[in-house]
Amino acid sequence: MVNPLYFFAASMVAAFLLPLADKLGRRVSLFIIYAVTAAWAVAGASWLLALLPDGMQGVLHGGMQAAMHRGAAVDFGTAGFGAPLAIVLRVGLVEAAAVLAIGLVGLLSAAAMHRDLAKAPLGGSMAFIMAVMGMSGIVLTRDLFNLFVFLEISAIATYGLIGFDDRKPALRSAFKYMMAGGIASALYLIGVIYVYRFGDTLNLDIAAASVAASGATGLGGVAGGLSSAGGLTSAAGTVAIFFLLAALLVELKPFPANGWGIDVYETAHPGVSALLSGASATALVVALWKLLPILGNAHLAIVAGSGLATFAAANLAGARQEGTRRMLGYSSAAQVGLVTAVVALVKLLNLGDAGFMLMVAGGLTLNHLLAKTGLFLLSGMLGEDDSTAIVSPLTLAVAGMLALGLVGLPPFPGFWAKWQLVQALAGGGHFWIITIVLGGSLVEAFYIFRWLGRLAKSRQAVKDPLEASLADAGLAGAGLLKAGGRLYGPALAAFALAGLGVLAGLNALAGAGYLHWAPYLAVALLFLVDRAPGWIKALLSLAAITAFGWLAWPGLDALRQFFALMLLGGGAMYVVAALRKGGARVGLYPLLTMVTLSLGSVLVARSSLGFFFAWETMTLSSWLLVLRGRRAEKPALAYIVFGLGGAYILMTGLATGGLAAGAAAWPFVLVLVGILVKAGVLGLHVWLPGSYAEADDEVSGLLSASLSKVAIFALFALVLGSGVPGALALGPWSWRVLGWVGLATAMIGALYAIYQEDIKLTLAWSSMGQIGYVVLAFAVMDHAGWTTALYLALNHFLYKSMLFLAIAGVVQRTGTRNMYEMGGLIKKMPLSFLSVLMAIIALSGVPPLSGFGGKWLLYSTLIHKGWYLEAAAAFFASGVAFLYLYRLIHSIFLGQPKPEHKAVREAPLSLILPQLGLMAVLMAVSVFPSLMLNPIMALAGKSFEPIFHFDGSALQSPLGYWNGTLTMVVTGVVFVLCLVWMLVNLHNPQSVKQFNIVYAAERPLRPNTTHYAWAFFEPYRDALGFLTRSRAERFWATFGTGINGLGGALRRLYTGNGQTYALHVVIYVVALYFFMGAF
Amino acid sequence: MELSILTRIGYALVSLFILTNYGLLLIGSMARISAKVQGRVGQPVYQPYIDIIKSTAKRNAISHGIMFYLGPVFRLAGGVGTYMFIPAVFGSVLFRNFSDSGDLLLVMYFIFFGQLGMALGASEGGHPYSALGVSRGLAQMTAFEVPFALSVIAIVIQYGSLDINVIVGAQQGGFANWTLFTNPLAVVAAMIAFLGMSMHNPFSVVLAPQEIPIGPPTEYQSNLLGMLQTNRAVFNGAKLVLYMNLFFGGATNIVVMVIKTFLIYYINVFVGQSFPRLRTDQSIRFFLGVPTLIGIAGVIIAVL
Repeated sequence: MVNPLYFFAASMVAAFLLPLADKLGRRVSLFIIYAVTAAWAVAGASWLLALLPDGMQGVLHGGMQAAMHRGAAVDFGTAGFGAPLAIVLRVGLVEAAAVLAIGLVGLLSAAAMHRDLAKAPLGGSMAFIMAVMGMSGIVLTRDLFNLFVFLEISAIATYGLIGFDDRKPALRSAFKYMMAGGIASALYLIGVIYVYRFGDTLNLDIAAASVAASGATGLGGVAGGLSSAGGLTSAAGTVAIFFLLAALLVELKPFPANGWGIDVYETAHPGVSALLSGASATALVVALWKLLPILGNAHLAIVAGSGLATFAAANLAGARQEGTRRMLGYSSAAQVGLVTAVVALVKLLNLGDAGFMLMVAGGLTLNHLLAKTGLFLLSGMLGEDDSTAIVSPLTLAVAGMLALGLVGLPPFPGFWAKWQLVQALAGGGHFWIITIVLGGSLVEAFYIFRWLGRLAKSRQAVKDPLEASLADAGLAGAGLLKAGGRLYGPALAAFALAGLGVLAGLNALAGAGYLHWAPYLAVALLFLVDRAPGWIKALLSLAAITAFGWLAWPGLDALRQFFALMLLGGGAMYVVAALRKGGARVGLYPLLTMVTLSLGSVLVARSSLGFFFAWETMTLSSWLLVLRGRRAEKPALAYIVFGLGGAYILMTGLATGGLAAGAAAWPFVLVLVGILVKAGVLGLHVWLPGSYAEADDEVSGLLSASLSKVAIFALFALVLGSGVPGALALGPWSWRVLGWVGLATAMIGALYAIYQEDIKLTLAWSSMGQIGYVVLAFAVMDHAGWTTALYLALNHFLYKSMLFLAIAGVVQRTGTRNMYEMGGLIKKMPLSFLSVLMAIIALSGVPPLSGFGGKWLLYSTLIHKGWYLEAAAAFFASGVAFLYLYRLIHSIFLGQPKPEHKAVREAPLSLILPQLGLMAVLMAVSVFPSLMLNPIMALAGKSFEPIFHFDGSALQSPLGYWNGTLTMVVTGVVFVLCLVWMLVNLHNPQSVKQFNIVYAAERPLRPNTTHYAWAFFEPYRDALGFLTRSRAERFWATFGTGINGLGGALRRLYTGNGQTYALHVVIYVVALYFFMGAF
Repeated sequence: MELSILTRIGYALVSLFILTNYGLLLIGSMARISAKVQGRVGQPVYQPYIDIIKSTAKRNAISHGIMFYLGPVFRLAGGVGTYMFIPAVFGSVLFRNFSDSGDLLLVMYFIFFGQLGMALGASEGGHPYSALGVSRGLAQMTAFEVPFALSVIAIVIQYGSLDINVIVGAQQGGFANWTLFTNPLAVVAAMIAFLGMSMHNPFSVVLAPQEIPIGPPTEYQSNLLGMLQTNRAVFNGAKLVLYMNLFFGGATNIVVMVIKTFLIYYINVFVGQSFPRLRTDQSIRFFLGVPTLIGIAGVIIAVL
């Protein structure tokens, strides 16, 4: 291996000779910068390869942890001596990786600063070289005083770098940085002096050995100070180490002593911010990691506490930020806080071995490093005010990947790290730490995705999506050109992030089969051909879904096959429906396919991690799909925040074994709550109406018909996973509570639906209500209940698909979603009308269509179970469904047609065909209910004693019977007889004009005043309006305001005044000292 | 012995024919009673026959579209179908109808079939008052269904079955076995719901028959109106038979059926002549108030 000393020497020589070289032209100087930085990266890479005996093969096959143990470290003495006589530099796996990272981030930053470095005075270039060298030095050295030297070198170089291009705000923040840095240096120096006094050495390894020797556990802490003769474990030694530690922590920008750092992130050149946030933070974290062996429990406790507090507070403050750069600054502080906390917690709480530390802390660091570097560089590209920037699709994709990575969604490294972390924390029972970590992550997700959503929308606001998709082909090329290649930095970071994430994932999910990766593979491949015409992509999507189904089907049990029909079949159907509009429809097909396959991979999952991975993939891909909607920015944000909130609750439950057989009660409940968020039950539903309404029309259908079913599937999987007897042991009342939750959802969903003027909102609330019935039936927990739940779920899939497809056609043709602006469309769109008619008959449960079967099953089940009041309330809720269904079909298809809709045609074929298919299926299962019920009853019969059974074509319950076939025949015959009677007595009728109606001596003029459609059920609001006053929305809004207010209060600390910041640093250190005393 | 399908159809037609005529006479006689209360002479008892014959014979002048025609078809099919699913006379083969299609739940939901179809037909007429009437009617329906559902649940608990034959069978053997006496609260709740169901005063805002031509039938004329008038007889009869079966011991022969249903219907007229009309929101609040509480009490009694 190459001795790192050469690189230090080369860096210094390069920096000092730069003024000379500059005489040859600035190009030469810039070349030198790149060369030196690249040399560090190459050095890191070469060490990494040398230390991993089998190279990357070791990582792939032996796993990270095995690789970690195999990779030994190599020490390099200076001046021919070893420790303690001389400073020792050590290259281990961690150090090599960190140097590589610093080098790479340095290259990216240098590239981003290229133009400005070329223009600015030469000092900037020199400072850059020294900063990179200083950071590498921090990583490599094993000597405490030498560490101080490198800290100072990188700090002083950074001051210079912050101000290199003479931006005034940056100069101010550089001064603040200097003040804080000065205090930290002073503290560190004091620490070094006393460590030498009490520990007799400045070499970390010797100090660590003496600490290990003096305390039996090596974690003496203050208690070890009984040997007052000295030693690092004595009280005085502990304080000495405290000074070192405090300085390092201050450098890591902890809350509240980080105002100076955040000002720098905001004001400095984006390249500098990237270097600081990515490389410098990495170096400091490694330094902290190196100190671990000499830290006692008290030290670790304050590090962990400070880190967690920083993570929470910085995220809260970040949520208040509108400016991109400052927001990223807070996010940086938060992420570094988290890594700091994790490093300390792993040792303090014994969460795992060195491999675990590498996976989790390393994973999080890597995640932060790549994502934040990329985002800072990207923010530079977007300019000061990115709210008006027109972003090319490619830029958006890169920004999206970086944001997703930052938040820790799959498949990025943060996801795997967080999963392991939560697993370990849950294993040790440290739930308050989980709460802080996940809560902070959620707040971070909120503001990062708010930013991303705004970025995505800023592009659409300028142009119509249709137009945009047509113009996209040109824009992408132009975007790349305009970006002048500046995009490749962020893009490189994004792809590295994705690659490493997939690598970690392949390792973590090894043996779980490769179908989990199908959504990512599909989305990546389809995005490559995203410029192709829609039909080609639709065919490819269908092929992907079919292939997935083909591969997955044999491995699925009957329940999963049942749901696969709805999830994969539904996805395929909506891909077809997407053809309703021509053009490429950029992003739609890849994401539709991704969502569908992720739904499929939820079914495929066999382990908790696999399940959660698929669940998060689904949440993330469906969010992107929702975000595509024109006015979906806000609803999509609610969608992802609730989606992730639910997922985090789910994760906590899974981490404690919620899906395992014989799970304890509360992990079970946690998983349940996580699932119920996705089901959108009352109270947790606030994300639902908006996102269903504002998503693209075919996407709404997919969400309602298929995606909601995955929550239902998860309910079944949860109970079956932990065993039915175990689930029943929760007690009848807990299930009854769940039943009431479902019932309240059904009732309130229906009540909201009747007041909506927007047709998609009507359907959204209706979907929520219908899922409520499924939850109610599921909670009955017997053969009847489960039969009902599955039957209702499949039925809901059928008729809600018909409704959403038909409505997609109507909205497309009329160009409005307000029902009162429509009317009389039956003559223009007869097939859509027929579809809606059948769907509402089925939904309302009127015989003879299959919906009645659902009602019959539900009431039979509830009465049989003895849930009488529930049955009556369900009856009321079903009655309310009539109201909105009638309103829907009347206001759209009947009543008075509008003149502006004269030219309206029937919906496109791609919408009509699926509807015809669904109608046929609906008729078939209505005439022969046993087609659907026999398999469903068999499924439910696997877990419970049968309650329903077929006697011929009549379904028998303990209370009564229902013969669907006979009902259909009787109804059909009676209907035909009445029809014949009507036709026989029909005498030469004539069509009349639109306004030829009996109108109380008044002649109507305009259809708009004659079509009774607006505020259709006002009397109902008078009577029962108090039930629908958006309580949940207000609760969550208040909750959000509270969080926001907290963030605002925290933010007041950051006055922008350098003296105040210096005071913060001092107070922070003093507080830390007192806290340490408490341990 | 299982009857051949043709025999069953024949029996059903006879049963329907009897019920239709009875229903028409019932409407005629009730109209006459109302007239007497108001101090008028009133129409002859056979007036409904005259109305239907006249309407059916008239020329159709107006067409608003297919759904407009199908509305009355749905309505009449709904009325006839509802009757077809109820066994009208306990133990009678002739009046058994097609009650083996489903139990009480089927009957309760089939009632909506005609209402829904009619509402759609009326909507295509394009008259705002039709839609207004439907909106009021549906709103009111959701409310009165609650006490009705509660009383049905009470009797299902009491008799342990949703099978109408079983429910009637359990009430045989004297007055004391009628639901009216075994669970009077449930019957009270159901009867109040029945007032709403019949759309007589005080719940007649749906049709507002006296003042303006409001409500679903507004645009209908000629044979389409005739079908609606026929349905009124059939549908009323079917609902009365259902109530008789559930709460008043059912009937073992046609005479008992006539007497009992006449008296049940009379309650309607009696109340209707005594109370003024409520607004829609008032009637919603009314049904979800005291009658619902009575219904819940009925369920509690049945459970105990």
